[in-house]
Amino acid sequence: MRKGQNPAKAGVKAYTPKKLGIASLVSIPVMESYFEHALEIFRIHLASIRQYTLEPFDLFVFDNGSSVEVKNELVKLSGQGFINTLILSEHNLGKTAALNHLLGAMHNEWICFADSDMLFRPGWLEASWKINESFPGCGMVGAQVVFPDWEEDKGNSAFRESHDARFEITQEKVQSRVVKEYVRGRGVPEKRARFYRDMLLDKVTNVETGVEAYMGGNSHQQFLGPREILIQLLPLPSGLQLSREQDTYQDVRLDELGYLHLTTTVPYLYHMGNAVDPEIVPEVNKLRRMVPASAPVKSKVHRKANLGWKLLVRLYRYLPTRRILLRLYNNLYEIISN
Amino acid sequence: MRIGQNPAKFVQTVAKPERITVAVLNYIPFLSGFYTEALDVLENCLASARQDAGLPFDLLVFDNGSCVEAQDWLLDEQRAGRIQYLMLSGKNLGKGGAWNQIFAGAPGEIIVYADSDVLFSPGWLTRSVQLLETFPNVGMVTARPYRTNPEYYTQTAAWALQDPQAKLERGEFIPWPTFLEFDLSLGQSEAEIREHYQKTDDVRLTYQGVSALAGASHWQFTAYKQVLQRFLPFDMDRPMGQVKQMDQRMNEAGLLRLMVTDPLAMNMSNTLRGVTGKQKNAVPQKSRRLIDLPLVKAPLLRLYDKIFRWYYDR
Repeated sequence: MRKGQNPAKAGVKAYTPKKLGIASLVSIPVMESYFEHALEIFRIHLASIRQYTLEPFDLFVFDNGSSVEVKNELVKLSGQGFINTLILSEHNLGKTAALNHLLGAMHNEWICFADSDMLFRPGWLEASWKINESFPGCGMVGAQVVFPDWEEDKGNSAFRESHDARFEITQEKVQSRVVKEYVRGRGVPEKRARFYRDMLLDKVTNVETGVEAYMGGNSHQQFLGPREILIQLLPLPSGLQLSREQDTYQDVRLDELGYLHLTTTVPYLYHMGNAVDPEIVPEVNKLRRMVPASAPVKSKVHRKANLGWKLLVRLYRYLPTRRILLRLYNNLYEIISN
Repeated sequence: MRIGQNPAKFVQTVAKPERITVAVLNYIPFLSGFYTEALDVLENCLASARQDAGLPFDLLVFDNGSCVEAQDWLLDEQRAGRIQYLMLSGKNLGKGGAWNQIFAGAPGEIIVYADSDVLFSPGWLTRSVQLLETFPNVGMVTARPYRTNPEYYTQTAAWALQDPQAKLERGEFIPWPTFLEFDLSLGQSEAEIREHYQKTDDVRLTYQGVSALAGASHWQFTAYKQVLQRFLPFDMDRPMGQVKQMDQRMNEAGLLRLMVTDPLAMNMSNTLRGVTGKQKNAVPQKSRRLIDLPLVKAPLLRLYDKIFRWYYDR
């Protein structure tokens, strides 16, 4: 039974969400193998958001069934105020199911979503706002150059057919340094990299403001959009942990609804993947001070080559062995992560 | 940079959420004063929800900016596998703000909401879902009968009068001990409760052989997620006191607001007193103590409120 008065009923103001909410999705089921540096990568990601987002925002982190060590670390970061709302899911529901939760739950006027391995750079938000202001009907603005691998990624169908004199559509090759960074960050094979170097991206320019943007490109790794538009995409199909098909649904749906999907022409984000790229170590070290108790950043990518290791690498290059090892690795992952 | 392939891309299955998500909203800013027993109350709430609920569900706990001790306890519960989704908010978003996140984010098709001081009885979930699925156009079902404001169930009664398959009866359907038990938990005196009991009555509805009482409440209810989402967002500028709009708006939308006919949920409030069901009779005060004198009580309460604001309204 009630004893006394609940002090919370005394008219104390509740917290009101900021205009901008940033959501990050974490899934680190183990601390070995592919995920060995994942927690450190997340720390850098978090520091980059805090350092280079120059407007107030609420930061949501959805943990999709990570290991106990990772969850403990997230709770610590939450307690230190780096994370405003932490959502811990016992199991991995898959990326799109987590997005269904996040985009629904966040009540900020603008929502930015990012995978937990994206490095934000200075000016990302300002550049995104500029695009939003220069092109009417933006549903998603990505702060990185993204190459459209699939036809569905290109989007902006209605806009392409409109003939507004303010907007000039051209095609251009992406600067080689941008391509180089893009393929390095994602571990893109050389054959695909050559394809990107020759690819012509559709660029739109607002001739009145001079603001440029690339049209489309599946920016499911990071996007900024108005909540009222993003929730129209829900529910996203779910059922897999990570799936390119399920990621693409949001682009297709956005296009069906007639909203624009644009990206910056300059990479304000870098895909860190699962290991710190030696080329970005100076950039990363600037951020290390932001998140305390961070382990030193290792740029070490190659293992010391002893005889056993060399033998394993050689075996791995042999296709049948590679298939068996990969299957074993993935089965082990499935067992461990469940 | 990416080295190797993310193994998550090869996993063909993910955990499927249960059809029902039970969502509990918790706020324990400190473990003294009003909140001295709050952790024990929360523990009883969650344990009772799980015990013989009758249907499988995922448990979601939204913590609205509680103290470290409360959050640590919740984390331990999740590590033990007893909480499927734990949402930790750094700030108190108010009940409306928490609802905005819970009702839009909870993965279940059916959402059960409960304040963290609700004590459930075996079978509570089966019975709640039975009403939800038997009656047409249901907005919300509360797992306890008590007398709610008739203004908020006018549409429920109107439906029963119009539908030839539904039967509506008025009378005293809530037994006195059941009525008394609940209202005492809200801190009312027995005399006040008896007066309320005598002056009001119950509206019982029967449809397809299943009975329910008219009315429901925002402290505990079961509803379809898609129905709840029609009422989002809720105002959220105060921690409490703005949730009655849910009751009002559901009635205005013509949705049924129902309660089960027997007490399957109870309000523990902030203590475990009376949890065993051995409710003590109200003891008349033999003498007014000094601290109950208005001149003393008012400034003391103001100071109490002020201290709370200093620490928790920043």
